[in-house]
Amino acid sequence: MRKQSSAWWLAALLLAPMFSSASAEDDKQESGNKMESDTRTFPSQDFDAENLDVTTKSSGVSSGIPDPTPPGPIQWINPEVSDFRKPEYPGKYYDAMVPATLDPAERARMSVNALTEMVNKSRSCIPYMEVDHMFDPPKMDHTVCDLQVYGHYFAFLPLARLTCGSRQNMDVEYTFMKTMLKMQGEDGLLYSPTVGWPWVLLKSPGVGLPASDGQIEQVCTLGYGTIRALTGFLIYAQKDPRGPWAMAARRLAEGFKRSFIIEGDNAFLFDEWTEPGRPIAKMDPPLDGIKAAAGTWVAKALAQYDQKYGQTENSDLIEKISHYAVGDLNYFAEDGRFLEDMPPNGQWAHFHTHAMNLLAVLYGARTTGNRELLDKALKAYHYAIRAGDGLVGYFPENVHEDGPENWDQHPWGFITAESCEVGDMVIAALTLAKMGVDKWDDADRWIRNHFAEAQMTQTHWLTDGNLDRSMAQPMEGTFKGMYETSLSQVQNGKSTTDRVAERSVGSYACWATANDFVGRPEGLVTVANCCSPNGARTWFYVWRDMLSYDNRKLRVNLLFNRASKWADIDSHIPYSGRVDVRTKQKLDLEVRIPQWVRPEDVKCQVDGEDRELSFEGRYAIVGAVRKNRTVTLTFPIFERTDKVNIQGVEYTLVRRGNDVVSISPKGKYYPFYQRSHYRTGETLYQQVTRFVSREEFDWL
Amino acid sequence: MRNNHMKMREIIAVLFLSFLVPSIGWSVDEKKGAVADKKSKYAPVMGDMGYSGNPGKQAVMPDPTPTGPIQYINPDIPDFKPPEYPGEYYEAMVPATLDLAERARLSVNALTRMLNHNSDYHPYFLVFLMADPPLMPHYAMEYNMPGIYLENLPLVRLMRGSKQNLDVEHEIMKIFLKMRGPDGGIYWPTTGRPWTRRESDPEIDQVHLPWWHPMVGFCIYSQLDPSGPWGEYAMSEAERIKQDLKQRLDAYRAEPNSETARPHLPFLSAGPRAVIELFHYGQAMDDAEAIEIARRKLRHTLFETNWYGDDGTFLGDWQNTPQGQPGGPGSFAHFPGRSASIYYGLKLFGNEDKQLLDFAHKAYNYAISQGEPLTGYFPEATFIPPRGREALPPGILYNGISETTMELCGLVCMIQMVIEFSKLGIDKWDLADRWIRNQLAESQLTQTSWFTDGHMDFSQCQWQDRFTQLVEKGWATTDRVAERCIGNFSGYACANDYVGAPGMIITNQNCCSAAGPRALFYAWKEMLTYGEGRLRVHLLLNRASKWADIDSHIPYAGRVDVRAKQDLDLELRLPEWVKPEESRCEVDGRVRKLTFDGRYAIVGGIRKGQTAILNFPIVERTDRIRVQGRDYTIVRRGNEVVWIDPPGKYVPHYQQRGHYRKGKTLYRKVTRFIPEHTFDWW
Repeated sequence: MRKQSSAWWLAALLLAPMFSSASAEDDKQESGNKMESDTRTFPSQDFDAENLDVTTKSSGVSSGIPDPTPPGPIQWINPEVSDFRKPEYPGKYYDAMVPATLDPAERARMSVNALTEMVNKSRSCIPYMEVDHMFDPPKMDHTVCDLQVYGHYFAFLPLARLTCGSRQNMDVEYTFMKTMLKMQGEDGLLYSPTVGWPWVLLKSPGVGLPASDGQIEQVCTLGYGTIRALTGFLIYAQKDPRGPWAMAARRLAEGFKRSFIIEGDNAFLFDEWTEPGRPIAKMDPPLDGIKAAAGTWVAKALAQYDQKYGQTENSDLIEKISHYAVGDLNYFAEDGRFLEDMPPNGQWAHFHTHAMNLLAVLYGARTTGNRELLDKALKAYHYAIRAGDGLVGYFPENVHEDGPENWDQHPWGFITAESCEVGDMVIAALTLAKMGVDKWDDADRWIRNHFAEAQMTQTHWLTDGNLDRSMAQPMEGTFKGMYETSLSQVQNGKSTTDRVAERSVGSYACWATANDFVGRPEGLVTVANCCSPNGARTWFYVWRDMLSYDNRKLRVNLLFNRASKWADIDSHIPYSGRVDVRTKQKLDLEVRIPQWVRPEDVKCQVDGEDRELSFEGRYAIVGAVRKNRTVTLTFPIFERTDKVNIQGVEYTLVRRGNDVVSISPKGKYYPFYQRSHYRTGETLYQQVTRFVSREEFDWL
Repeated sequence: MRNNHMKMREIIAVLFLSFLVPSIGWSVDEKKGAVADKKSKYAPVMGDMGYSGNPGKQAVMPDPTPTGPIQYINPDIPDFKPPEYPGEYYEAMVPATLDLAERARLSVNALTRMLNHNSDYHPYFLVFLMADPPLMPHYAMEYNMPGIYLENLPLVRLMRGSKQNLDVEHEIMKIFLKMRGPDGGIYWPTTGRPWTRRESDPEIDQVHLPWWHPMVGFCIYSQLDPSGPWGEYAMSEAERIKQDLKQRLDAYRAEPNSETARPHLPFLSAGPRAVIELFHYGQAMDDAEAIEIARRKLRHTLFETNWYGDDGTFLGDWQNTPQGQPGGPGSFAHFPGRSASIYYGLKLFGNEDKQLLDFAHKAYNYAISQGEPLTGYFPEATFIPPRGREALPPGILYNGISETTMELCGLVCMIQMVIEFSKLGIDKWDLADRWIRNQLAESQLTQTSWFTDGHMDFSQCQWQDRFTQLVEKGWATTDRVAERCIGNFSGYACANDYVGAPGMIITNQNCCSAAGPRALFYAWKEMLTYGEGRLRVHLLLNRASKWADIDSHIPYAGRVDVRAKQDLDLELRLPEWVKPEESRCEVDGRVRKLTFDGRYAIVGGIRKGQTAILNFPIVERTDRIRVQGRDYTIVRRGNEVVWIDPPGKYVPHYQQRGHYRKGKTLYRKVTRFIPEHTFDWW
């Protein structure tokens, strides 16, 4: 078994312990280490490990284990933070009955649930990195990566709220904000404390952490969640200009910029982690593979920074980072192929990290106007589609360095999809489309299908008695160690089994197959909480970019439900080929027609009167529409069947418009595409509370 | 097998080409898509069938046209009022849950379109949705069909007020008057329609139909149009049946094996038609003699015909297996006929006849043992010795295949039976609820995408020569068959698929499409009872009524809203999966304390305009069931199956229900209808 078989996130969580035979037994053998097991076992308030309920659950673990409480205070690097205004989301709310079709705002509402519930409210609302729905009972675990994804939660929760206006758990968001400030060191970087929260530096870390925990009490991962936090600071800086956020953003940006080594046209991070006071010096050899590629993410955040403030201060660094990512880093081949990640991922290319590099380079190209960067990004984009499935938006967690056709060399037999890269690809398609490279239909297919299905929207699959967990207690083979590790997490007080199902509604699958939320039942883990905030981020971009408004012209780029200050969109797709646009102001309307519609088949009425359409590319030009009018576009919708091969499985898909409405073979655990009600052609409706934010975030 | 299928496709393709020849002297009523000029020269069956569609579109086999005049026994009929179903219509946004009125609307589509508008609206008995393209052939048994259609079409119109194809209904009514012989009997003309000629009687131009009258339809029409011919028609027909039955029953009493007594036996297998017709007539027209004769006939059927064992078992009568002997081991018992007789026994005798009630219980228990009571699957026939829930033994064939499927007619009778038990105070409402929500609802075709999405696998289909001949003769249509079939009911379903026997090609026997509406109507009618200011809601389904409108959120959520249209006392029956103590009630937002009478939650008085909302938890649970020798895993939410494994392959059941599991109610826009007339006698 090769160590380098999976992504760094889960390698850190699961594979590394497994490959190094980590188990509860191993934990006990670590006496002498300052973080030996007895000192880092955090009994929960009401958790009695000696008297686990062994009768009700097959694992011997009882349901209702509360969130674990650390034995002592967490020692933040900046424990005293000044008061700031609590978060608010000003806007207009109103109730509406809308077609029960895909509604990004409603999905964002679920994301708010996930991002504010899959956290430990006993201490600083620190996220649980992983959710084991296949464990009996379902549990959430604290892991080494918790604080590395804190920045994701911090940055993307406000985006979800902007989309839907949900006020659920506003106190949790306030805690996120305070904690982020507490993590900011004097150098502006964000540090995770190890005192009071010792598993931040457990052994066998993945990427972004030192190889040995040593005596480090504050550690900063350079990249990943830390750089995500810059986006969060910028968002709050706009929301509360008088608050500490602009300064926090500035300091974090400067901290990162100081961490780069600049050589000619290239810029790269000096290391993947740091601690307060650590000298910045080029390593010999410099980082390579996935460890170095994390640095590229900084370019994207810096591009947002410049965009927000209307400046070009960072454009030179952005261009150099991007140039390095597609050049000397050897992360992409000339033809866009994803190259190997190097240890710990070996000959496998981690899709999400590559896709984030692709996105960062796109942002770099947009910021700098560098055509070469755009060309490289486009090649990588097209390769990425070839590595996955472009009809449904399935993108595997890893791709073999020699090409996606070598998927069967993976030691686990096939490769599941991590939702992070699915979201990345959606955003890449949206970004390209906004840059004039029309990829709206790619986005439409992926959003409606794998991306929408990979979000957990209900709990009954966990409670209906139909869930087959027979694979989830492996007594031998690859996953035996993983199961034992999972059990030891409970025994070491790192887990909760308290209402896990409902708390994780809105979360995103980390190991999905093309037909099931649960792609690796034997692995127990179903959700890695890098994916859940990344899912929330993606819904924001979908919601935002489906409309564009400029100089009284409203363009509807994607035909989803949406409220806006300009017009409300009611999409009947895929029940029928119909979209209603109710204007709220006088405007010129253009609606992009999906690729499965022939423009000549489109009919338009404005308040019941026929309106002749003209076309510009795929945009139907409706023309001027006065306030409070309803524009109805209708066109034929039909179903067709496709055969696709995804990771060695032949699937038969039935698509209605771009929506998959049937897949065969069907999933077994939490099966995808339970959508046949769309096929009756009769629109069903749902009651929603629509929200129109007073805030806009075009610079993101 | 594959070759046969390919061969049929070739035949159909050749026929397409032949239809491209322009016709002479025929015009198309574009509005109806029907041939309007029926006085033109009659076209030959093959080749030049008057196809005048748009040659730019894909050609289809149109509905067969007559080969000569259809010579009715009574061609000159008096005028009468076209059918009307007066009532109140209004728009509403209601939970997108099972709505029997909406299902009735679909049934109207099927019952007014699965007939040959080129040939005096002659219904098709069989539908081959597993043909490619889907096809409806004419078949000799079809003379039974107009009566069954017209018996049930008015019922579904009353539920929803659908006005679709009222002109078709008018035409069918005319045809019944034209078929009425001087003796009051109905005579089916075979002239001009060679497909209706029976091989056994090829020379008969007028086939006398002793049963299969739309007696219910006549009674309804007589009430809707008292000045029309229908009351008199029904009465004379009833008198004829009464005399006929009395004669036969008396003869049987005198000498059971006499020739006079025997002719009634063949009709047993199709169900107690005479009982049905007399019973409904007697109820509608308050004719005690009709009821009494129906009772005599039914007792005879139940106790004197070897149809049932003393313990209520169904004895065999089916002879289409080489191993089988009628009534003995190795034969099959036709389920619908057996269960219908039990149902009508309950209707006719109620609690008055303890012997019959006890026997009905035994037969009911036997029927349950042969089916699957969680979903409502009941086999078309039970094999003797009983093997209803198991696969057929090796070598035993039924209808030419090695398994039995479900004929919907049997389920319809079972639903009526458990509702009737409940009305008699033996509470079986939950069985009705389960079966209506599951096998009945899924057996109705509600959309056509399955046939057009390209997923259909025809590799199992096997054409039988008798059907190939029908197509070769041009006695079939491929004209918009799938959409014309929306609302019909499967004749050969299995537990997880509308298409239970793909090898047969046949998917529908349209007795089922006509019977389904009966179950819809009976459940719709009986789900509410009102008397002395008290409204009882027995089944928690959507429903409009003059007393109150019911919005059921089940199975999205455990919630039912009742909007009162008049002051009333309200009681709602809680389903078996609800603990009474967990139910909560609000009336216009104010908590209302509930008391209970058995499973009925007593809400108490609510005033006109008020809304009572009942809430209770809803859960999902998993069951393993075995149907026809196959194991299935089902997940039910409330009583509603929301998942089945393995799933069906062709037109799979329970695939449109994923949205229920999210727990958030979706809504649909509907037109609600309150009929002006009620038919409590039905």
